[in-house]
Amino acid sequence: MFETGIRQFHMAMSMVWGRPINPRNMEHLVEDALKTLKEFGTPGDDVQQLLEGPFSDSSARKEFQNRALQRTARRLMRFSPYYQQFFAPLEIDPGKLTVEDMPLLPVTRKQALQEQQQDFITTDSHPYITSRTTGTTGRPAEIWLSKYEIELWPALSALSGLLRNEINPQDCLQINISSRATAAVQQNIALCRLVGARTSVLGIIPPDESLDNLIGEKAPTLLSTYPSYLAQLVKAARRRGLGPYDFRLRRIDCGGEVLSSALKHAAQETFGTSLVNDTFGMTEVLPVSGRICTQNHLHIDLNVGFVEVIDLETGMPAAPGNLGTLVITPYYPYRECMPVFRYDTRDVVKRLPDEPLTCELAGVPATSRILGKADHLLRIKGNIVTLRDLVEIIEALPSRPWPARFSAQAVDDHIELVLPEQALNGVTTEELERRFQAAGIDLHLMESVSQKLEMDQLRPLRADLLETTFVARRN
Amino acid sequence: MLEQIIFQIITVLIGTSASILCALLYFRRVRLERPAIGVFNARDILILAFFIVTLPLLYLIVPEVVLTGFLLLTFVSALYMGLRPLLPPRYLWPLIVFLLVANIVVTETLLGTRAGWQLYWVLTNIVVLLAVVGVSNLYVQGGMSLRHIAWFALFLAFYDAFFALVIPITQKLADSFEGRPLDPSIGFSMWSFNANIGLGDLLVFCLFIVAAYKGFGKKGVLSSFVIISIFGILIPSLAPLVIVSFVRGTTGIVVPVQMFFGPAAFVTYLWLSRHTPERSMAQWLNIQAAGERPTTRTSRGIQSRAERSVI
Repeated sequence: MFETGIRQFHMAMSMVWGRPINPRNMEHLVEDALKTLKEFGTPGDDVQQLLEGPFSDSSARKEFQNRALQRTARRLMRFSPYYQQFFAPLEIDPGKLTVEDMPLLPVTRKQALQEQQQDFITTDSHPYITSRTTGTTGRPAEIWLSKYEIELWPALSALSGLLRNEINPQDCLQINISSRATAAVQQNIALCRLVGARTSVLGIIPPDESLDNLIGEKAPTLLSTYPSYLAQLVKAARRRGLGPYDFRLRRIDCGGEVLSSALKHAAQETFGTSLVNDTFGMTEVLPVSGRICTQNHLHIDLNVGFVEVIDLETGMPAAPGNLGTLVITPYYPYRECMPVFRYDTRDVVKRLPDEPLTCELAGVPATSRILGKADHLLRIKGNIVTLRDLVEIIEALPSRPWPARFSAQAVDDHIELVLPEQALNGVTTEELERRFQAAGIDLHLMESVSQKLEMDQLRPLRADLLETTFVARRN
Repeated sequence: MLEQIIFQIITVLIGTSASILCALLYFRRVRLERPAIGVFNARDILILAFFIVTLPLLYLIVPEVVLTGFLLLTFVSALYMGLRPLLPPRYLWPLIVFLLVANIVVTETLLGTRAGWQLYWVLTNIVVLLAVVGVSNLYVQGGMSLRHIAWFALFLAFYDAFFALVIPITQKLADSFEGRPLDPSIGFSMWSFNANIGLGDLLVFCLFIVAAYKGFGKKGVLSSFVIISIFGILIPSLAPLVIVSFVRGTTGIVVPVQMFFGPAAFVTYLWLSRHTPERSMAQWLNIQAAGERPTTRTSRGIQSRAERSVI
């Protein structure tokens, strides 16, 4: 008890003074949390405060954010070659940077990360492992991480996961994400090691093989994957006549793509768990991550990074109710090796109206769920159609065309859509257009495709990053 | 001598019984707040042992006013922790202030008379009883197990014996508290007799019986009650008849109680845990939630976990 108190004090002091957080101290806190749960069954009374920080009080939040931004900017100016050049013409004093100054500063784009990768690596850190983005939305970016980061992040995740009952030592996590997403895979493995849970790292293998692993007495209880791969798992399970009683899953976490309501409900029904989560995480801004509440808001953890929603046109803060892109600044000391400042994720969200939240995560500010990438928005008659708008409609079609494969483009005052032939089973073109019109979208179905070559022209999905196995090749 | 011993047995029996019964009742009915993460472990016991070894030495060398200050701080903390779940702040703080100020005033003004001594003991007993009940529950509800307490009691047995028989600090400590405000003991004064039992001993008894109840149920309580009666009350009270070094002058008796209780407590723990593993707080809360009355929570008015799990 006394030791835990000292460790928490140690951690709090690192956070307050912006000094590196000792990963060993965090790992000991994870052990303490495990012992607490073993003895009491639940964490103690102040757990919400510990997890969410003092963010329900807006003045405390602002004070915290100002200090965190100042120390992050100070460090970047000292050790990041890219940001030394970035800040030089701006004539700002990083020690006086405030939340109000942020919209006046330029954003960092993925293109800069790709073209000047080495300049982003801070001179006081030692790159240890690299992680690539999957490249489904363009050329992949390569992110270097330090040993400190890959030790700290899983410990932070393990502590919050344990205290939120998102993972426990009895769990087994099946990981169906691309092996190239080194950071995410490594973090999940380390998290399970710290918690004492089992891990089954499968990657994007043929869905039936993954499904085989999800069945049985010691089958996984947690699944981490992409929505498109989840769709393939759902279809494979239904084809094989498997249902809720065949699985032990208690939670499914999806990320990296849009998870539609139709697919979410199908996964809930098929796998027998109500917890099918649409999470937010991005290699470039790790360890900043977000969770979706029961009211479908995206709540991004404010303890580790500064989050802005900037207008699609002006780049200034988006007005309540408007669309904007998420711009994230991970704070030091959470991000060390290749930190970014005002990183424009290009992920589009809608700012929520300026009203008090009533969801279970109301203490943490929120936006809408991710609606798609800014570069893939379609504009018709002055309205914006997002990827989520299209995916929601297509994945709700009677043919259950999961995952939704299509290509769409705005032409004049309507959208021209290309769909696979099978997607139109059980629905006429008129019915399809009616469904889109009900969502305020004028549609013109260009063609339906069936040939593989044509299929390859449709939007890429992460499930396409298939890793073959000898079993699959034999069959 | 015999009358003094009989008086000692009666006083200690009443004081100890009241303490352990109140501690048990409190444990069954009241849930104290606990931090988000943290369980009592063996290192906490070592830290506790360190303070137990060093604080008495400090008490002997610090001036009286500083000693009273230490005691005041200790009792304010203990009373606040113990009473907070039971009383709203508007009653809690006035009660704490009244109990402590009254104790100091009575000590400074009325100790020359028999009635004054009796009033002093009544006030001191209330403060010490509330403190020992609160602190023992804080530790056990914080995850201190019977295993920890058994080892702790065994350590105290050696400590007590050493500082009573080899280096007689216990007697000096008892003298330094006698007739001073906030004497950390429960006792009484009648006719020409004066008897008391120290806060530390009462704390160990309360810790043991509450942890035994949590860990082993009724069997734990009964066995604790038996060893507390025999090795915590009866034998230490009769010991001066055999061990003359415990007797000072005609009626002054200072007995190192843990010297007798510690080994008995340790053996009892071994016996209890021989066939049944000790229950955790979570298991105890589940059992309580399954069939017992709801508990009182802190003044925030939050339902207990046990209650919530029933709903």
